[in-house]
Amino acid sequence: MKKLGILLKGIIKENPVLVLLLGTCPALATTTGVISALAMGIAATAVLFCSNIVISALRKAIPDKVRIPCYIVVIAGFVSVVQMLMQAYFPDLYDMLGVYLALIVVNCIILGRAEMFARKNGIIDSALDGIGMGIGFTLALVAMGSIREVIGAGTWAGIELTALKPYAISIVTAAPGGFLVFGCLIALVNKLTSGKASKKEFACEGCPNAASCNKAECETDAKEETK
Amino acid sequence: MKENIKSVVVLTAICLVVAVLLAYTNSVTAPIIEANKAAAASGSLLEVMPEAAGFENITETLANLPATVKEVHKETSGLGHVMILGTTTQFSSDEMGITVAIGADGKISNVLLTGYYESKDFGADYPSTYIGQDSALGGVDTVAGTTFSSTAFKDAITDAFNVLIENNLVAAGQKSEEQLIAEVMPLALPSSADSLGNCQVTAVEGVAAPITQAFKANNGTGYIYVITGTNGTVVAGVNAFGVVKVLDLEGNDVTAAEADAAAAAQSAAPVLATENLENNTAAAQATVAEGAVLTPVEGLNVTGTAIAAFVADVAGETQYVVITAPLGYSNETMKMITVFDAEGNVIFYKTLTELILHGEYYATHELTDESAYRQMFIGVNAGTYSDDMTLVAGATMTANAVASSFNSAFEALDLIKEVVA
Repeated sequence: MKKLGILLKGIIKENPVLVLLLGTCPALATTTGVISALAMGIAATAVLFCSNIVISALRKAIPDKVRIPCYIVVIAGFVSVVQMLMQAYFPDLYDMLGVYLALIVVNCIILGRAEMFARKNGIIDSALDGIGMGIGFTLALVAMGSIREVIGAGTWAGIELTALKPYAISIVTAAPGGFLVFGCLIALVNKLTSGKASKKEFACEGCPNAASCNKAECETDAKEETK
Repeated sequence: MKENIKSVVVLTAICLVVAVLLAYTNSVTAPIIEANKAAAASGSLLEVMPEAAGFENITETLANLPATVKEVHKETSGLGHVMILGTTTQFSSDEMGITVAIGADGKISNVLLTGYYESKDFGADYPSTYIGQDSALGGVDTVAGTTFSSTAFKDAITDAFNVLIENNLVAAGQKSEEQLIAEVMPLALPSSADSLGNCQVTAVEGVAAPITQAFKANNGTGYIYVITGTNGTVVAGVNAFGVVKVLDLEGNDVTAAEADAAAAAQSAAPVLATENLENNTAAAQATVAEGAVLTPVEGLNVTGTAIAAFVADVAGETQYVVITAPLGYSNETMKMITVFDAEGNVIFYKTLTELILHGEYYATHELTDESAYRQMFIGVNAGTYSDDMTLVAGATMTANAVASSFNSAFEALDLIKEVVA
């Protein structure tokens, strides 16, 4: 039951995009269409799953001092693998995602989950966390992509919606529309969870750099903010 | 210290493992990625030659490629070649893109227009008229109304064939006599050709042997005759001063060898300078000082657009008057008159027909009217004149006609001085 909880928490309760507000850059950039949003979600999920497993497996071997460089090397390695596979087998998707595929390396969700979860938990739990967070990330992107493509272009996954096409509001597929949809979805998730999303993730534990900063001071500030 | 060493060792080990993983993935995906790239590059080539097994880009191996031929791809199983062409018309600076497939038999198997930016379309069917043609391009013509675009298209295809023929990749097609005559006509009477090199002539009826065809230049600069000569068909050009030039169908000057043909052409063609002497004299008289005595010059061997020439005696001072008739916008004849002093400097210049210039020109050159444009040429001579002086943005055809007029006038001036001397 605990393992199911780990898997499911990333979907709504600790959704990385809509609750933890991580990975905003790719969320805005690749959600002009459903296909690119789904592709980015799957690519990030694959990297998240693999990097969580490896980092969890090596958590006792990696010295604390060099753990961030180690995480980055592992994550960059997996991103490069995904990039090469996608370029070879899904060249159209590769072209569609462009530079954002390579930027998964610096995606806060992946580094954040490595720091927050994988380095403290076992391989199975880390794998489940990777999948859960990946699914949450993918669902958020697909939801954003769907809304933006349907309203902004009158299509869904490239399928023309004849009734909506003449009323397409093209600004929704542009950057301002991305922020608008993003804000609305965050509000919706807040409403659904009645604002009870995991608060601790916003404080020190939610910060990938918590260990290297003045933690006590940081926690004090966070507590004051919560009050 | 121990912890530091451990950190270095662990980080290095992770880097090595990741490097091995990447190397393996790269070894698997690199050939597929290369194949994808090649397939994408040959996509447009396959469109015109779908049955091709593959392509090899041989552009770099071919020497002296004309600017219109961008890429040459050889089909690997020997079906032929696919060439990517780019050309510009004189109207738009944007390139017209053409992809043409030329089979091993030297005939066009397919042609595709990939870029077209002119406001006037020469018709979706036009490119397909080239399918099945060999390098002679006997079955295609330019399209009236889009002469510039269709001529540019045809010239680009001709360039493509020339590249393959010069590199012995296909055999040249056999041109018909009609095509050869059409190619030689502008050489026989260059003054009748427009800026694209096409003769602007009107057929003359009622010709007698040995003349088989006769044409009068629309700008009145002479006649062209197709004659059955001693050694086959020849083309004779007779200029406005009655001087004859005879060319064979390869473009060689055979005036001396084909004396009978030259004589036939000379006797058939009215000397236009003499025929229009009254009108030309009146026009010339109006440009020189009152009381000047004009003497027409005959027998000038001009190749330009000069149609009349006079030596003027202005109170004891010698001046030269040349009337030219270049082709301007829409191939309309633009009669122009130039007066030179004894040293060959322009002392008067005007157009007898309306000079169509563009408002932009006046703004750029701070001119208020056409007289200011004309005034620019006063004082220039053969040494100081340059075609750039005539340039008018937005009125290229008219400016080209003015340039042609000056070049013809300077040519005529030299010949007048020779005749007078």
